[in-house]
Amino acid sequence: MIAVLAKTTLMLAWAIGLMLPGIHWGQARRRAMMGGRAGPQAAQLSGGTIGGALQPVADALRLLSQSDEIPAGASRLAYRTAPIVAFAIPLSVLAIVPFGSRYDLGRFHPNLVVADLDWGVLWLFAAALFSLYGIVSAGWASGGPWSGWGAIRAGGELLSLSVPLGLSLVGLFMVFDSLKLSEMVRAQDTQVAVFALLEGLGVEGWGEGWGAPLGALRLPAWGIFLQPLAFGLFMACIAIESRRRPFGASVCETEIVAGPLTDYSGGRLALFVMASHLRLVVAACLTVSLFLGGWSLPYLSQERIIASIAVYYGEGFAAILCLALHVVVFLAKVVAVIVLWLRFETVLPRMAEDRIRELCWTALLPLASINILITALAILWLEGAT
Amino acid sequence: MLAQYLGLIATITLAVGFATALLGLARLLRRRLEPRARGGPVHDESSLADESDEPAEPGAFACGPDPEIPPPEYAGSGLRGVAILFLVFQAGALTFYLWGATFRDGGLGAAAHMAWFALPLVFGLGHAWARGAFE
Repeated sequence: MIAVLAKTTLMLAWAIGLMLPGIHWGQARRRAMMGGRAGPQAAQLSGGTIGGALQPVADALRLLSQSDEIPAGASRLAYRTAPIVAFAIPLSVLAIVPFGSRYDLGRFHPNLVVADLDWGVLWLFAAALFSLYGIVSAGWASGGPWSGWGAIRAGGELLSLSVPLGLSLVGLFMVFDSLKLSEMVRAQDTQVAVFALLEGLGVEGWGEGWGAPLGALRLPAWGIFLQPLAFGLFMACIAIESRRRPFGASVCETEIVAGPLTDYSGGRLALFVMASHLRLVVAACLTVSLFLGGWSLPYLSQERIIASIAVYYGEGFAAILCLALHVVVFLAKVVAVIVLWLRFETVLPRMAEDRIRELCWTALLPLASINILITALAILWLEGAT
Repeated sequence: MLAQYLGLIATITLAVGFATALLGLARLLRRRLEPRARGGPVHDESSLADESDEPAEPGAFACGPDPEIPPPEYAGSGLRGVAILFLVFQAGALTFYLWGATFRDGGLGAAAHMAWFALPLVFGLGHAWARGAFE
């Protein structure tokens, strides 16, 4: 119980205390750069702006000290609970994300995941639907026309994306043979032959003569290499879920002010802003865990790292070093994905709401189904051939 | 078995607790800052901020023209169709998750069964598409 609480507190401290201000700052800097502006400079400490790093603190204080009014005609209970739901749901998804593997430290066997659920990935789908309650009830409860339209847009987008989001990952379930996120990451801590299909089919002469170097070529068994189509589909779906450009028509300021958040202010608006940043953190963590090998290092499996260090410093110290290395690798991958995401987000135009729905049903869903079919055939073919 | 859910429950509880505490902090900050903004004494209870969250705006949206189409009518333009399609396909997708995770055990037989199960869904999608449900 203490271990679970410690892991939860550390995870929340990392997400809320480090990642949220970082994303807020990075987003402001990036948008300013694209607009030819200097970026956040108002918040200063002893005359210095520290590159605008104090801006998240200033913005938080500004929002928290704003007046917080409930509009006439609003549904008060839903209006009050919506920001809390919107904030808590993305954080709950972080609980299933493995920040590292399981390590043998003598009497202790730390497992760096807060909730190692057998069906962990299903919680992602459940949370994607639960998040609908937060944003739609915010828009509906406010009672305003722009809020209502924003809620309807958000509802349409989230309902349309749920099916392709789920089906985009079925290919990964088939390849890794599990719904447990920690097991899926562990399965990526190995390598595959690039031309495994030809090897499995026993193509004559493959891997000999001129084909020998190619036959020996091996790649990390990361989801992005095993399921490239699923990676593209998942990125599109998770971007829609995150309500960020090129999607996010529900909060399109040029058409419907701030959509479901139009009538919110003060602390409640701050919670929605934090939830928006948290969705990006969750999206990055899931992308890294499902497709970019999670905590694993390419060509350096956990056993190999521990064995090489243990020769000089012993098993226990090697496991501690490996644990630290895996956490650093995971966090570095997450930050890299977020930085790339913010870069793309600022240059992409926003899609219209109907186009997003159409994209989900007529492109993402058929492609996800085709990916499942191809994966099933490939697995049956390979297993039949070997 | 149930121990694996402890982390999830702890995370949700702490997240809700943090959000509630943040709203409490916001209320406290407003108590402190509002009198200053009004130029009154800092601890004058009679000039506190709007702590009761009473409606302060005359309407749901205080500025700009009223929209010609209210939200409920707008919702009828296509969202109901999307909602029905979602229910049908989500129910189908749920079976795919477990099937995918046990696909290797089931082999060709399980693949054939799933293909048979997915056939009506494929026809349904094609029919909805042809009837312009996604336009």
